Amino acid sequence: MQAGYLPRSSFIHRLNPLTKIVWLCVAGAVSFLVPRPSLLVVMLVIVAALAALARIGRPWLVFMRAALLPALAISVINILMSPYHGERMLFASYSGENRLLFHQAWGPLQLTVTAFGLQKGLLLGLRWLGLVAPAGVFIYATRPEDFAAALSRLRIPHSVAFAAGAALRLIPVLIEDIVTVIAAQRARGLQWDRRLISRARVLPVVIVPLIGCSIRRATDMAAAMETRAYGATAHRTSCYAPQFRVADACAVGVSLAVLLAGIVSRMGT
Amino acid sequence: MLKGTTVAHRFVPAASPKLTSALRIERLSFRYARRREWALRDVSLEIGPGECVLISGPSGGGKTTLLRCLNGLVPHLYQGQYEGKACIFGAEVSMLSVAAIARRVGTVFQNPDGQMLTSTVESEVAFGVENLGIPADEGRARCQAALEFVGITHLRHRAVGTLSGGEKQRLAIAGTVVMRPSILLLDEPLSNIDPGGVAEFLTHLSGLRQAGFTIVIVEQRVRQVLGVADRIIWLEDHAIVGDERASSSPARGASAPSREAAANGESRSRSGPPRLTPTDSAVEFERVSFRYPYGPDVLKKISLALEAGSWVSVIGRNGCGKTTLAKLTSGLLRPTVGRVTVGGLDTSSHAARALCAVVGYVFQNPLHALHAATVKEEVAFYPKNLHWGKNEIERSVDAALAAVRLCGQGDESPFVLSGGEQQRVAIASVISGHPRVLILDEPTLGMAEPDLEALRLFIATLTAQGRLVITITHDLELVRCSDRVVVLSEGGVCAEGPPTPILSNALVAEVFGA
Repeated sequence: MQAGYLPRSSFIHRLNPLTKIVWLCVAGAVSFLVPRPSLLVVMLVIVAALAALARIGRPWLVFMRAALLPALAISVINILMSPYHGERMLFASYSGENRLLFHQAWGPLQLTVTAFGLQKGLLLGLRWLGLVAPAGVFIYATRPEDFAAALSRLRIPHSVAFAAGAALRLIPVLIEDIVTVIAAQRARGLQWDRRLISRARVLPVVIVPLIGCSIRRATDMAAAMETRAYGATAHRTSCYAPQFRVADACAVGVSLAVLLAGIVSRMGT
Repeated sequence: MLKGTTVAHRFVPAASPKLTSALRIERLSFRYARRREWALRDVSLEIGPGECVLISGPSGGGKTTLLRCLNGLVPHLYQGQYEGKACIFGAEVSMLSVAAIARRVGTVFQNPDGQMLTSTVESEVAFGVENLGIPADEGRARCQAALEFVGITHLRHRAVGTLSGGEKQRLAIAGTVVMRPSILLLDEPLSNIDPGGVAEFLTHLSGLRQAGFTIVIVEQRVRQVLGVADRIIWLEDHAIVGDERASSSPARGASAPSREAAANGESRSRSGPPRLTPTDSAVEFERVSFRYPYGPDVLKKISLALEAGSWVSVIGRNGCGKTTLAKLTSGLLRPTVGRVTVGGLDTSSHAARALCAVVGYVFQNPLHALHAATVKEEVAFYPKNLHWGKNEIERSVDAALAAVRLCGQGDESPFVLSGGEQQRVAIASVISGHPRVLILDEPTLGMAEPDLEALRLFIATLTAQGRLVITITHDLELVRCSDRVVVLSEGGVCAEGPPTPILSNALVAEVFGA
């Protein structure tokens, strides 16, 4: 899985990172406001279309595949754990009649699947995907340093913004390190099988080199930052800060309109 | 130098005529915090404006520390016991802030990846001028000039991660000269670039000289930089032992290897493990293709047969599939199509466990493997995983440590050793398992000429025992000594054979961009 910025020449890449932050927040809110699974599917299709527009369709799909497992877990747990009468759901209501679809009891252990439980599980699983999907587009289509610049525009101190940007940038590096460390230790006979217990036992053999590499990387970065005058002045400038263009205004407008529509439509219920 | 000379005058501020030295060090000694040994002892040095000085010497001799004293990282970032003084244009380093030093001294570090702080070329170049608070318009003009200066204007929108080693290095130089320092420090600039890039780099270096920079280069490969430097300073055992004009021959550089080599040859022949029967440890690739899930083919229909008792070098540009080839050989990856057999075992049908007893793999960065509390435990890790007996492990650990000349450091933590020593621990921690096939990924990174000679002899001992040694390398000096060379290009084998004809092959020259 790709875990970082993918430079492409696309309309979405060129948008101001602030615009994308607004869009991300709106998409997150909307995935909670939408009351029906079918609408969430529509929303996911729109996000997928945006990913395709940003020319990051394939890596986005791989990213979403990784998000599928937690979504399934959320769904299954909610389907199985829902009480018969159906609980109140946050920002959503049940449709139709509640029916018992499946019931099995093994002594004290009861397994019940109801129509309401099914709806709730489906909705919550899709909500998770609805939260994660825009984040995937955001991460792949936003340069970490633009993100940092946008944060400092919001009066967040540059050091904090830079750290946030660096964290985004270093995720793929860290993942690569983990893969390499495991390979290096397996090449020296480490048993790295699928059983969690045996993995936990050999964890130090993987964690220690990882810490070693990270400390080294942090020191190297600190040295590089120092020798390039990081913190020389309180008034750091930004040479290639993205501009706020008409397209950004439009995108923010559309995002806010969608949010407003979502809120208004929920007011009645 | 491309357009370099035309824009060069924009970078270097006119030196003040009153000052005779750009850098001056007076009786400087430094010891890192929590270390017993001094990293530098009583070093005095003066470098004039516009001079190009080469600092060389064996690894662990104090070269990197000396550079850190010049750019202020010692004592500002790396703390410890500091005596004497270092001055830049008459101002004392320990009194200046690192940011103030950064305006006058630019540093290009050894590891091009470690010094990249942003994700695209453009923003990377701009990082320094933004820190200096230079207005955006002027900053962009300076970035443009710096990109032109190093000849990478065409890469400006690329992601840093997709650049080659040589391109990253040029980017690092651009990110430094953009701040218009008058002194440039380069730490082992040759160690991370393709052989074809070396000549190009040297042209750039003379361009930087002509532009008026005072240049200090730390480099182990003296011969290659000799033509450009005015002066060579030899650092050994944490002190300056030689300071010569470049016109005289590098007597120390040339004499050191033979001495060390002789010593190593002796010690190794005594401690080496027994000879193997050379018939069964060959590596065979039969029409092997490999791709990562959802990716394009990294290797395309490769067929290779590597004999036991030989030394094979695998070369090719960054990203051509060298490391994938190594991982397929070691069984860490399995071929998508085709068959890989190692010592008669098919890697697709045998567990990693069976294969790791046959193939040893030393990764490029020793930090990816080091984990134990002591060097001895680290070296014992592999044979322990192979369930050897206690006495057998002990003997093998001692022999492996002797082979890499680290007998004295057995009880130390691998994390307090120098970079070169860590590399040797990593090698020892693999040969201790007596693998019949040994893969070394870039073993000569940051290695001085004497160590290089020792490595050659070491590999010769292993092949004489009937083992197959595969080196993945950029180092043409190492390639020349191997028995056979495999050249990879775009996922295929584009040439294969003994080193001399292969390296003179026009096709190979093209692949390397030479």
